Amino acid sequence: MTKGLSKEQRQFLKDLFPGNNSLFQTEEAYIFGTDASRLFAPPWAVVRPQSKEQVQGLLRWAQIEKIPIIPRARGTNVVGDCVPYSGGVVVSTLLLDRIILVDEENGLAVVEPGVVTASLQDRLRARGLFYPPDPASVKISTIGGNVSTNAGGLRAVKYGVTKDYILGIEAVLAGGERINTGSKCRKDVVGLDLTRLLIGSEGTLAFFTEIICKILPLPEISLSILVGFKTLEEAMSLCLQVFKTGILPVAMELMDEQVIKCLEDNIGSKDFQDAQALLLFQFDGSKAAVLDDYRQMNSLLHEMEPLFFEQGRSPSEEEELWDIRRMINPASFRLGSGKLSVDITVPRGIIKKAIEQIKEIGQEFSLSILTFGHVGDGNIHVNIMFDDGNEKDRLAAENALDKVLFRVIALEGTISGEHGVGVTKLPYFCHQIGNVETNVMKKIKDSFDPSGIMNPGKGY
Amino acid sequence: MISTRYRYDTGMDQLTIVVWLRTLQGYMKQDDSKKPQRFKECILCGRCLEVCPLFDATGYEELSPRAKAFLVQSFLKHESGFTFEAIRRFSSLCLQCERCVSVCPQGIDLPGILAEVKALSLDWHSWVWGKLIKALPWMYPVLGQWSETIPGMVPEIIRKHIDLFKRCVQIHPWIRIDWEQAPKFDIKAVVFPGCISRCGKRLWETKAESLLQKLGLRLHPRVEWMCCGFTLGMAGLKKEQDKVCHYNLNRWREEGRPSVIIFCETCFYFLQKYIDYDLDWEQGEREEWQQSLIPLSFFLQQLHLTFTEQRPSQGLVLHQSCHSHNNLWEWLLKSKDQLDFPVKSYDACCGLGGSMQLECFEYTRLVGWRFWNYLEHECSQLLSGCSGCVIQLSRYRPEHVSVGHWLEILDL
Repeated sequence: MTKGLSKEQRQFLKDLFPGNNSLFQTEEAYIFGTDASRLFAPPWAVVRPQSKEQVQGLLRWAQIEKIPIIPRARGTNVVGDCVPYSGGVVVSTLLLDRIILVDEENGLAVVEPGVVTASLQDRLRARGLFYPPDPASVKISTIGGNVSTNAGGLRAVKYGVTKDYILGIEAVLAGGERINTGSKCRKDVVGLDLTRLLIGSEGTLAFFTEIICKILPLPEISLSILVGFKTLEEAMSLCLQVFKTGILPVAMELMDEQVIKCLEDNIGSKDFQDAQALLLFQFDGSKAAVLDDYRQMNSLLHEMEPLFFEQGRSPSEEEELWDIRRMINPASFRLGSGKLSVDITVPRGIIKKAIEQIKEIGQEFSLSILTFGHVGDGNIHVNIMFDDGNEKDRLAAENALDKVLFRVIALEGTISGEHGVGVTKLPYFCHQIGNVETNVMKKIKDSFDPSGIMNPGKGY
Repeated sequence: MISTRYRYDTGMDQLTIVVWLRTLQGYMKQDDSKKPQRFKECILCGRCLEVCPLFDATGYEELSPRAKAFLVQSFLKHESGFTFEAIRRFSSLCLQCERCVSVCPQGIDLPGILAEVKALSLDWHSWVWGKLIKALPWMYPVLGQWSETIPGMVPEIIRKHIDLFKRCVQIHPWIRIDWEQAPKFDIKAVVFPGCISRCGKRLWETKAESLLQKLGLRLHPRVEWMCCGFTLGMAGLKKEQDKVCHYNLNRWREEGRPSVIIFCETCFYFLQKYIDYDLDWEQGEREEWQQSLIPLSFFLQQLHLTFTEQRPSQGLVLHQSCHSHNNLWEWLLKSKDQLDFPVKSYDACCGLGGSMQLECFEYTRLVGWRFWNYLEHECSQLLSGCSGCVIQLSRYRPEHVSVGHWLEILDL
């Protein structure tokens, strides 16, 4: 395991991270070589800082010794961001998990990177406050991980994504210098926006030690509606109608017929009445505003005559509906033991066209392709399922993925709306981003991390 | 038999271990899609991270269910660079709460797999645990007395567990039952008290018997039961588990197959699971056994209750243990109109962890502390339906909180 570290280097880490907070044995460090991408490369060592001084000491040493540093929270990303392909030291943020401050008056919270996003939301909810970003992994992923991938989520239609709720970041650079970007102000245009640069940088620029989150008052009520349709066309038609009517839902999620089949297998008790598409909406705000949205939705639904619709009025009823959405990733493995997953995004007006073209690709390669996701943002998750014990099947899936991504780029879309590039989408990066832009990114990386030790080989 | 045919002694060769481990596919749900049958792998989705109390208390990702599942499957696929002993070591670091099983989209029974790994290579911790469980009813009081009178006579590792009982304080009863309105049950029954009641909490059993007699049940004289078997199996002691399951079932048969009334939630949980094992069942006997098992709380649902002045006016926590059935507290919550003090349900793991008490006491303590971190200022009393939880939660309780089995609050 430690073939990349000398005896002296190991001793340094043991001294800086005593006891259980430095790991060197293969079996102890094993899980730190993978993440939800299911790729694997063994780390040389794993450390768990409990203070920013330890992080500074580590990064000072790593720069001198030219040791790759791989920041890691709970390893729930699906693009291989946490896989130490270049070897190096994995740095777990999980013991940096304090909510340092909740400042109601100024509408902000200061947290360490290892705080679980749902824990922050729960803490705020108890005080009538609200941190809106809501990735599907909200109960298991952390603020630090969400910021480093600029995680999107279900509420993005109305509230935006993680970057819209981060006011500032304290981070440590390779070499050990600490920087503070942004401020506690809601508006701040002084200098280049380094906060935005760090958000979504996939651990390639700096190691976060504190994050300032913007928070809002908790909406008075929310309401969710699940609608089942006979055809995908009908579902897409309702989406357009909703925006035309002037309703702004919190979330608008689409699930196609393949997804419904997986869900039926996984949640045996749920009857989707042979629907070919599902739309899941959420509305929030004051009672009067939500009631008004609901009236308008009701009238649209009566005109369209969908197969069924179900409402979630109480938090538990809503949770039941949203659990359906959260079950998609695990349920997808019903259609194959292997999966290639991308989160493409296209301009909202051409979602239907994009989905149809993706389905055609599935037919061409005889593969099950699931399409679902944040239709309100044009962000569609594409899951290409295959038998990972079958080499021919795997090759077909890889070819189908190529075709899907090139088709998306041709439609002026993007190869990732929220997961990031990591290592899995790196081969496609140059097809979307030009040489000049890539060089600018590389120069920015050089300014932050001249030795190239921060999560090398990821993102761009 | 409960998988004892798969037990090997330590020192077996690597190939045999791999062949044996492959038989574990029975613990993983079969893929019911059209694809060829294959055991399901951990997909590393991380849903188990939300529920694992050990991971929550430590922040050590290598202790998470995902990490252990990944270790085992990499070993099976010859992708790892570590030995079977490494898996064996990590298999001991599981509290056996089975919460990960309930959220796993692949249906992987990781605690079951880890118990099988332990069974494959029993170490001295398992052996001592087996002896402790077997001898609990007589040994605890005796050793407890020794450790008090002659310090140093009882080994430290054993003394820690005797101390478990020291912080258990009897709760003053605060619920009265209106016997005039109480229904009568014409049932032949025996009480299954569980090891903890037999070794240090005899009062629970006495109270349970008294309650049942007042309700008209025809109770058999006390039966000499053995451990329900749950903790033995989870410690990898499959042969011993098999023995106690057979023993208990035979006692039930000898008593004429009466109803078995249980007041420990974990015992109830595992006695129900007997039907999954090959215990030389007769035709239709599995169903009969299943129907004979009745949680004691069932009878309380039929009773009219009144609360006395002794009720915990500063706040009451109703603990839902890892193996509780869902409606455990219905009998108390149905009297909502009388609950004029804060009542909160709480379902965190107590951290007892069976044989992990011997294998890694430090981690069980962290989970115990973590439990009270969330609750410390919210109650003056906590009730549980699991005997083990009562003991573990008493051990780490704040001074101002009393912890007990719900049987203790009944004024009989």
